[in-house]
Amino acid sequence: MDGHPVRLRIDDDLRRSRLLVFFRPLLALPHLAWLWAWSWLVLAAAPVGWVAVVATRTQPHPLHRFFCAYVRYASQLAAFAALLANPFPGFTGAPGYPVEVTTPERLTQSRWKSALRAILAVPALLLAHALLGVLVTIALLAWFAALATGRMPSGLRDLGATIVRYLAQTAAYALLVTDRYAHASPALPREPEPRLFDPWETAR
Amino acid sequence: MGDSTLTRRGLLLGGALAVALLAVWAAAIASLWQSSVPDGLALPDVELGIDPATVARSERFEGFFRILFLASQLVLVAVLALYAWQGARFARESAAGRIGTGMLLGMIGLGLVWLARLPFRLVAVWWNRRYDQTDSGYLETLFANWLELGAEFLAICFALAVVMALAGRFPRRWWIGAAPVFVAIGAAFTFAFPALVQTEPLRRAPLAADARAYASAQGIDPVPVRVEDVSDFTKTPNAYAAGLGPTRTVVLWSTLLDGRFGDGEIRVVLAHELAHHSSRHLPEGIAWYALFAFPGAWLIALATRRRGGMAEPAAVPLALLVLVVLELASAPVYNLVSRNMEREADWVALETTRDPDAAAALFRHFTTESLNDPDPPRWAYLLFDSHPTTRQRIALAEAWRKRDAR
Repeated sequence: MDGHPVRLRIDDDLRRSRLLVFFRPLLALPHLAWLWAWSWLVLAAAPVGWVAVVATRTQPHPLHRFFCAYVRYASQLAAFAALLANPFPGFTGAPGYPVEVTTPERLTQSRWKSALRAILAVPALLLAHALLGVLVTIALLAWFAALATGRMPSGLRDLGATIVRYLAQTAAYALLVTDRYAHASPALPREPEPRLFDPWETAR
Repeated sequence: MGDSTLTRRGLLLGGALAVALLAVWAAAIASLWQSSVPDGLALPDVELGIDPATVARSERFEGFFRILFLASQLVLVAVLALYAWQGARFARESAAGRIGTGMLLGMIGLGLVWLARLPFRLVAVWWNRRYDQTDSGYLETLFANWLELGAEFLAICFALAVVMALAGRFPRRWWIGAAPVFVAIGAAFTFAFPALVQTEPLRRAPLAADARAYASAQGIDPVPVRVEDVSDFTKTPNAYAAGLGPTRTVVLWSTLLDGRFGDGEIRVVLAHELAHHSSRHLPEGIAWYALFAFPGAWLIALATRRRGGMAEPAAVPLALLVLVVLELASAPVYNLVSRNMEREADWVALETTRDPDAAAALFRHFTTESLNDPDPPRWAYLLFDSHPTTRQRIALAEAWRKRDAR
């Protein structure tokens, strides 16, 4: 899993503003409207990117940046709407949000896997659709919990973050940002453990 | 040419421009104030013809609402004043840029307005239920307005995006560009409104035929008459004119057609609403809005300068307070304009139906069914009433009868 180029970074202190929690569904509205408009542009641009990757094995730079920004923005919005993060996100998908995905640099991709991407992505899209339902449930439970305590339960936050990561990986795969299939493991990435010095190893 | 001469010339030019703009403004107001009600028409003293117990009941009913409204406005201004003072702190809850943070502060302000009004809305439901004016429940009231609130959230975000983008480019003159944008949005909303309301066609053929005949008599093309089902949240009868040009519509509330009102009374309502279209009251309403949008936006620009101007998110809470105070302060003017239009629509309806008895019966019926206070106190009339009083409307019908008899 650690090798997946679309990763999740969490820098959230679990504190939540009760006022922002109470109005969260309404505060997300302008972002949902913006995402809706942006999604239409992405849908229009996706076939262009697909043709380019099949022909040249790489996504054109501007399209790659555009899709990466879209994936980041959608993830930030999902994290905000589901109470996985506290602050109101920006509208451009710029990095710096407490729960965000990092997207890969432009890569050379396999022609055949790219040509068949629309079909190959279907199972991941179906699972993503189901997980979106789970995320809504998490948001609902978290709304009550955060309103009562002013904090987000860490278990719910981590579960939600895993789903956001899966959604981002699926979107990135479908949009040919990466050729790595979405990874459904519930484990969140951890910093690599420092290897302990083992005297027996050198002695052998 | 010395600097002082240039400065003097600049001041003179600025002063002349201001005077010219004021003259245009005043001329526009004079033109919009024109009405087809005859000049100097004296309203006769009339008997209300309403049971005194009903009058007393309507006075109690409306009197309570006046106090409730005043209290709610006081609380609202207090909450917004507090927000204007401390609200900028919420900017730290934002990871968005300047405009996004402004949007957040605007939405939080609206949320606080909603919260501040909530207890008063619940009390209003209690009072309406007590007087059998609604069957709405309290929980229903709590959740019924979320869609409307969502639309308001989106609207304020759009408005702030326009204002803050303009203010970023033109820090002191943004209001000159913003006011026309808001007028255009108001016009677009008026145009599209009939499509946003769920209605069905009027199924009573004789009334629909009368509406077509009245439209012709008033010199306009036929206007569709539609019915809006409001029985779930109120028993109050009402109707309104909506739309512009090809979207012009007359909408009758289902409560007007539930058997409590006779056909003659409904015809007066139809003629009255058509008169709003034939007298061009909806475009005039937009023009009135335009006349006040410019000075309003200028006052907001002026008030927020000490917070860095509208380009800064910190100015948004203060701008909300100024906007609400301006709205409250202009309410008597708005009501004056509205009463002038309603009076004209009553007059044109009388000219169209030539049935002052039906008109007087309708106005009396509004008091008995909606508990409109037929003789409100002068201060309440000036502050709250967008329509002439029941007594004035009955008197107008009587004045029309006398004039017609000559």
